[in-house]
Amino acid sequence: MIDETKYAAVYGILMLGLIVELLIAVDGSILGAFAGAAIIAIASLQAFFIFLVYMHGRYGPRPVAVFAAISLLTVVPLFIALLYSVVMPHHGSLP
Amino acid sequence: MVDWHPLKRWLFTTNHKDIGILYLLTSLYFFVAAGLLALTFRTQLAIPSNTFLQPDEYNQAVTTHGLLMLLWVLTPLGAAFANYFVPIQIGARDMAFPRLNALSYWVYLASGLLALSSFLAGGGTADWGWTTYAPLNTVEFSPAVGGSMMGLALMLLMASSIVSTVNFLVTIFRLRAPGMSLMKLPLFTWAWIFTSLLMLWAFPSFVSALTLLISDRTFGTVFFTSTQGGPLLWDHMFWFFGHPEVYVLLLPGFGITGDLLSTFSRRPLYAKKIIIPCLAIASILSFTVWAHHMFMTGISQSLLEAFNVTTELISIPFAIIVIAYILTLRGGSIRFATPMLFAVGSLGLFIIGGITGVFNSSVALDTAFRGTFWVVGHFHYTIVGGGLTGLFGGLYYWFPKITGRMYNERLGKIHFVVYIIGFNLLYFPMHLLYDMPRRIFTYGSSLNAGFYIGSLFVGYNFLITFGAFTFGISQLIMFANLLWSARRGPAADKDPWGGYSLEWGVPSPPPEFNFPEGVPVISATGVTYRPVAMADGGHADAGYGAGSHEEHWSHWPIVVAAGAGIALWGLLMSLPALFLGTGILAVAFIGWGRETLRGRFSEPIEAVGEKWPFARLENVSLGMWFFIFGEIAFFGTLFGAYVFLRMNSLLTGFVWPRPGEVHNIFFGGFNTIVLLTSGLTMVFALTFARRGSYRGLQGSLVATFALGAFFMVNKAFEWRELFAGGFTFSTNTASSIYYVLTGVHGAHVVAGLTALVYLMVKALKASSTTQAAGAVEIFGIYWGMVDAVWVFLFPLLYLL
Repeated sequence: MIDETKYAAVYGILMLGLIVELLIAVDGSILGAFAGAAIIAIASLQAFFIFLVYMHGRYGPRPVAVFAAISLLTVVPLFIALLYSVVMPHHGSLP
Repeated sequence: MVDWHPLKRWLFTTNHKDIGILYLLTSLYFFVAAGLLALTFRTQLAIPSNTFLQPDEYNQAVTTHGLLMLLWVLTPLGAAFANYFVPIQIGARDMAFPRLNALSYWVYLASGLLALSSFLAGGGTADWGWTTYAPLNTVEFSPAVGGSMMGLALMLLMASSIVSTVNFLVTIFRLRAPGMSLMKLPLFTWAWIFTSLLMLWAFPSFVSALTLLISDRTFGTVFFTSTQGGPLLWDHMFWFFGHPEVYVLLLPGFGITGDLLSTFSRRPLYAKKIIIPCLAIASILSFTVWAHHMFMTGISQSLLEAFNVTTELISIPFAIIVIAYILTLRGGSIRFATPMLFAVGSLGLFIIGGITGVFNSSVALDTAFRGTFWVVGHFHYTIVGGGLTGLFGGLYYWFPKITGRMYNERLGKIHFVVYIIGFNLLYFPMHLLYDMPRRIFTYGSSLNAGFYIGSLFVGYNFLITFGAFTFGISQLIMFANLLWSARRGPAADKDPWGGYSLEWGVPSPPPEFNFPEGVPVISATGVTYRPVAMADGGHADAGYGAGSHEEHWSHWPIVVAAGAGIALWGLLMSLPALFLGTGILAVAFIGWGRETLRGRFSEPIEAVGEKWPFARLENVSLGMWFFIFGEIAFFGTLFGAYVFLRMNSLLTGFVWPRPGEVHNIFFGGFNTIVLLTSGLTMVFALTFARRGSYRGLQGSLVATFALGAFFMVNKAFEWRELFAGGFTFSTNTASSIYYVLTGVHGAHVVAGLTALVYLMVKALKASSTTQAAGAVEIFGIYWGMVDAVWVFLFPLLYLL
């Protein structure tokens, strides 16, 4: 029963996260400018729990987590560059 | 012994050596095709104001030459050697997933045929250059259906490569012989590990970019035609794949060069323990340098500076490796056989390519050189000089092992001399054309001809074309030599070169399952062969030494590839062909599943050996994990595109729909609950399977299927409502990214539901639930990934 309890608990966390996300989205004034960041943070936590408990479980040894982290880190520079490309002022066209 | 019909053998084989030979022959075929295209456009450029080719023909020839050479020649040529030799070098009998290995090859062939057939698709093939820059890749500027076909061919090729990558990584990490620690692997196998990791993380971003492109061209989305997306989005997505791809092309040949320098100087590789971390550092850095291809796109100064620095940094590990290679020769007893000549030649040419690359890393110099023949010269020195030349060294090196016959040494050396002369005549003068634009189909001969091309430049162009033909003729010498020698060359013994790695300890050519004397055991004193029962503790002795090809052939890989090729061709050209291809695919998947369920395909039994760092995982689980690592890159890039579009909308005045304005938040939330609940039932299925509860297992699987199907029905309903409300593929960037993201995710759900059907049948047929637990666990990992992606998609598309 330990496994079922663990899985059900994670399911509860996912549902709770979903409810909080919906509440923030419906009334964005709760967190003001941080509403978007809070929703993304909740989604990240949800994904983390799914990875850690539903996917990883006792069959996912540490190297899997390391490779998963590297996979995530791989796309981080792309995110930064994409953001910078938009947000930072362009230097204009060159000759 | 192989006594079945040769055609049947080559069509249905899953043996890694056969597949290696198939890769070799096919990649050389594409090499000839792409080379002939190069000679065609070099003929056009030989003299000023030439009319040998029309502008559009020139563009198609250049585009197809680039794409074929990079993706259908160089990478698969490395894969040919990897297929043949990596399993032997690690002491394995075959790849971890032999059928998937065959599938990778046949899908690769199907993708290549699709790419070539795009010439005949009406209006010609892609004409936008190998970089496929937007907006040249859009329907407005490239309306020919052949362009879309090339895009689909590229997607098919990427799928093949990613499957192959997963297979290689599992093989190398899990199938090593006893005592074969990672540090004892030959440099070529190490280079292939990094090549595979680069493919695993870089290729999915190209699939993402192609998904958006094909979506634009086929369904009318607006990623590359809108002001929010446009050229800059393509540039980032493409080069995020494109620059690691350079190292995918380079590393296999570079690794072979290291092994050749060591073997032919009779010295261990100098500082191997430093070379391997350098390869790792270069691989990591390769994901941080791509925007040096975008110095002229107007991106911010801070980005230019950052990428300037990272690009200069990446030259350091390569410089260390080059020095280590040179020091390997020091004090060695050097033999200049043909493979060694190519290795030394490769090193020299790569040094020139590397140094000119440092020029391009500088923003100031790149501003001057960008878009000129200087860049063409640089990357050919790097990729052809460092990559292809090393691979040709490998071809001569391993030719005796593959065929059991020696090639003609004199002809090999003549090939090398003509090759080097042709290469340098072809590519060196390109550096002198540092102010001649590279993407032009002709040029004038005087100051009045549109832009300045003096008579000296005319001479350089003629010289380059002369070099191209010399280079081409040198390959004829190689083909003649190898074809003749394969049939009539003198017999080769098992180790003609005094090689260090395991392939030189087995007969030439190697027997069916590589090691007839037993499991190789590697120790500090050398290699011994243990009887299987001793090596594996008696767990896997049954059948290890026996077996034949017939037990390991499968006709489903070629059928899947044929179905996929026909379906994609039909998608653009003919509806009946689309249905036919889809039908073939469905039959093939069912056949594949039945073959597995009925145990008709037996994979070669592996001995208990080195499995660090993945000792606790089964091969299939690890394969699934590697697949998911690639999926992270795939969805990560798509999310990156979303962020780019969203942020750019702020600057371009496009008002992104507010939460609830287009999408029903609560309906989306309800569907999220449905999918997350299916995740819970899936993990319950695993628990029941392990506990031996048959009813619990079946009930959980059925519930997962029902919830997944319900999610898709809801999604279809939602799409219909949105379309009816005027929110279509082409409404705006918000609608385009919504349909692509949910469509791609939906495709993953459908694929999962298909697999679930197989799983339910497997559970029905299994003698015990614990027997099915392994498959349930593997599918659970996949289903968890589908859930994890959705928990990001829901807020991004509905709440923000």
